[in-house]
Amino acid sequence: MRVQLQVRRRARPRLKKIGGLIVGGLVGTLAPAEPGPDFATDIAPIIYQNCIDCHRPGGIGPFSLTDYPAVSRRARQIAEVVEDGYMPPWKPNPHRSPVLIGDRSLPPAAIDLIVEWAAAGAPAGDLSSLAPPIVPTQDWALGHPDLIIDFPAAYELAAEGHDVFQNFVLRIPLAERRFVRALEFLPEASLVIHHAVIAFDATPQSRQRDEADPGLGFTSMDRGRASTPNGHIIGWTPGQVPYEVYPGTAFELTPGTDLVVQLHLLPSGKPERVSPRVGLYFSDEPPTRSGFVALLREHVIDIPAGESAYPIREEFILPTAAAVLGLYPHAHYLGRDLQIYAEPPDGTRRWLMHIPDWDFNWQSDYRFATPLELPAGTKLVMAYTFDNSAANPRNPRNPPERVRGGWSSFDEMGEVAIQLLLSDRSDLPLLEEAQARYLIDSGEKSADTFYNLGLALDRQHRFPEAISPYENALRLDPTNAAALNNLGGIYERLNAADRAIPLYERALAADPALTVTRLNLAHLFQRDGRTVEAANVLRQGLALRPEDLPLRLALAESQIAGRNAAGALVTLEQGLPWHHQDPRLRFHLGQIRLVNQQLEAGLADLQAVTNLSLLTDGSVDVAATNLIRGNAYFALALLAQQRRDLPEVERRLADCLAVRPHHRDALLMSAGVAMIQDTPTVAIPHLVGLLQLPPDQRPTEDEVLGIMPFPDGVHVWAQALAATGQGDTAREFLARHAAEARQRGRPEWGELMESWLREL
Amino acid sequence: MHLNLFPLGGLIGLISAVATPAPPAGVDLAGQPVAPLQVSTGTRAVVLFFTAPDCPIANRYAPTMSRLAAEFADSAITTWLIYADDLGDPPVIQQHQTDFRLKLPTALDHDFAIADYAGATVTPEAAVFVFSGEDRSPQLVYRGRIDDQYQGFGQFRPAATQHELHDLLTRIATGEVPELITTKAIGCYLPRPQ
Ligand code: HEC
Repeated sequence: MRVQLQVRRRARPRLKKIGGLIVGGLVGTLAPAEPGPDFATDIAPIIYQNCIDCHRPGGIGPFSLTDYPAVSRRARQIAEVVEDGYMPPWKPNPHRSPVLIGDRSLPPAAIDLIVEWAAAGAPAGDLSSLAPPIVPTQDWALGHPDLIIDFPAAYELAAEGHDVFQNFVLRIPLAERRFVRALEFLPEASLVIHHAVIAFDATPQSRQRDEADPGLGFTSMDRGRASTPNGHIIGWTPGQVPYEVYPGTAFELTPGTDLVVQLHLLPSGKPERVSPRVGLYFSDEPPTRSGFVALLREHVIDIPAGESAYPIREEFILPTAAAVLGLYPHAHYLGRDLQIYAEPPDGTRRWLMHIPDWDFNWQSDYRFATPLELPAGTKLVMAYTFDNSAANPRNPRNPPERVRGGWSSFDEMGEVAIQLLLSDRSDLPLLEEAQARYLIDSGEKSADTFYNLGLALDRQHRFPEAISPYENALRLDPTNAAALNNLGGIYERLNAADRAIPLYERALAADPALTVTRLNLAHLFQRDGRTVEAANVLRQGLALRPEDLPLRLALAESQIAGRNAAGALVTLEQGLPWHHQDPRLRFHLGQIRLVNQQLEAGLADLQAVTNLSLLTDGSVDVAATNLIRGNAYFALALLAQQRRDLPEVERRLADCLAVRPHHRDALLMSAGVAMIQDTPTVAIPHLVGLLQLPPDQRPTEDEVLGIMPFPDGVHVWAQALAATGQGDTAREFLARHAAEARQRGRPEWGELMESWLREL
Repeated sequence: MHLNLFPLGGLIGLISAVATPAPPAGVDLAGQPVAPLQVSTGTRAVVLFFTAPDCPIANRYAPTMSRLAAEFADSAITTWLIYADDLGDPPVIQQHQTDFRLKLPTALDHDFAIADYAGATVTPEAAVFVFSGEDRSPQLVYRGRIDDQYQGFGQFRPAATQHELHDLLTRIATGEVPELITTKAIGCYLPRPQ
């Protein structure tokens, strides 16, 4: 008999106990037997709490366990599967990780109860006292998604055969950039989907692989360029809680990005139609915190036939403090014992996870209920063993054969992705650097890895150090346009335009659609006075992408710099079909029309700008809109000044300051206008505004006095200085000007200024 | 019962007919009695596949069951599906066979008599009987797993490496009468009433 006292949940009715005693007494030699567990009292609560998420009508379990007959019929099997830990499906050792979200492990006491109950013939107990279970629904757990992505058609999984890794490339109908705060996966065809990895691909690579493979999706364990969003691990296993980002880490999704769903499918015995659904939940909040996924991977695996405990071990040292949010351990069929832990510099060991009986078919990613903080210098350790003996019931080969590392599921693999939350966003390039160095050191000397190292150093402004990794990347992949562009950028920063220019040119040859590179190259040409070449580079870009506004504006700018106002006019006018409503184009067009003597049209453009908005991701970018509108108002004020229309000047300046209270020139001009109109009290607040600008924007004394009548200008400037707490400066300023006036033979002004000095 | 009177064999036949209870029967999907193990002359062997609509392991073997049945049909080996379950419900089973494309003679074994006779305990499990004696009484030569893919709950290889049932049927097809072999089948226990 099992440990009853420990498992007993509540006191038994006294009567039964007496009954037990009597029976015991009659049999004589037996110890008094306590009555065993029954369904209504002991078993139903366990089953209803731990099993019916999956074992319910329409659930992913193969049968329902929602009432007594269903459970009692299978009592023996249930006892076996809970005792050997197969059900509920949950592989991690609960004592060797922080608390995990969605932990399904059964407490030992519950297992004992079930085993005892089954052995006793699965008694019902008083079923009338049992409330029916609350059966979960199959709907979106997080509510209706903002965007649902469906399969274009169902994938037909054959009735039998090996497990399949199939990747589905799905278009995301997005018109504008969004931030994703949660993602939910509904399996629909339940039983065959064992595991899903959700990834995204902003490149065309996944689409191309899909097209090259007949039928829906493409078959591969290697997801190629499709990756989980920066700093996130998104997977699905039966019963897993939907993925919600850690607060402040919503991830960006740009139009044109594809959703790539990798499904690990296990045939069920009948042909299955697979068409899960993915729901996206958006947020208006751009990310305020950064995450990073550290990848530990053993690159050299070579397991002799018959070896029952082949060890691998990998270490990655955190360059900064970080908190672990979750992880995704991975091995193939021969994986046996998976240990992942952290060793902070104080020498302790913090368990991240231990999977003592790895099962490839129940792999999953895991998330911690609360982040586990680790200091800088912590060593992350992955220590796995593999069992390639005949005794391993999951060994695909019998008798065993030598197995090496690789991407097929019959090869082996040992890796873990660890999801980190950074305390400071500026730590990100440090982690990226550490990751790239780790991979290079452990043998992954690929163009991508070298590129990533270059980029990480680049982002830390360690430009000279970044040169060699970029060059290594280019040795392996000479047409890597991003590496060519970035290396060019470094030489540009190091004032070596002669080296930058050919790199930019190679980058454009590799990828003519790279706008950034074109702008960089044109900028360099322009700087060297090679205006024709600059214009040519930009013009070629526009021929490819006439809708590219930055290219168009740059071309116009370079034409203006080359004193080709007519050319700039044509360039900008040709952009109207795309950018008629874009304030940036209209603003520049307005100015260039004015230059070309098209006064009315130019004025109309500038006026239009004051009503146009700059859209980012479909919503108004208020700051950018105000910036450009302010510039338009100020230009209108200048035009009015030319027409000597003072009231209009005043109005436009007021408009400008309403949207851009710190517009330096508008403040300066407003002060001047007020003084012309003899209203010094109106001028002073503008001057105060100027004095409150950041030091590098503050006008000089001469600039201020230059636009104001003398000597009243001196007076108001002194008053403004005094009003901003710079009394000493004001007094020094007045005393200096008084002395100067006397020196120049204007004692009356000197006197006046001395009287102002006394007033202060 | 009509017996051919051969001196010795006839006697043995008579003895075994008296000593051995008639092989058990079940009902088909229409409720008509069927006796899978009472065969006409010419049948060399009968394979019984114990299965159930809601057992995932048994279901994964559905294609294998169909394939084995087809492969050995020409060798005078008949294959039956046995649903041993006191609650076995013809419409549910009909649906199961449609879903899993099972087109084999079927017996519902409500009282577990066939399962007891074969000694089956789980689904999927195979039992193979040959009919060699004068009275063509069934002789159990195999009981257990179909192949070695499953080693335990959640412990299975991507594909089987030993195919015990197929190997055995191949021997029978060549006229051999093997000694009894039993192996441990992994799957769902037959829902015998507690
Ligand atoms: C997360 C979902 C989930 C939960 C929770 C769950 N199961 Fe299962 N269960 C499954 C799936 C899926 C299968 C089918 C496995 C397969 O495909 O072989 C299964 C199979 C079974 C089987 C049949 C085993 C076999 O392979 O024939 C039993 C018995 C079982 N579960 C009992 C339980 C019990 C008891 C609980 C609660 C203590 C439970 N399960 C909780 C998903 C779940």
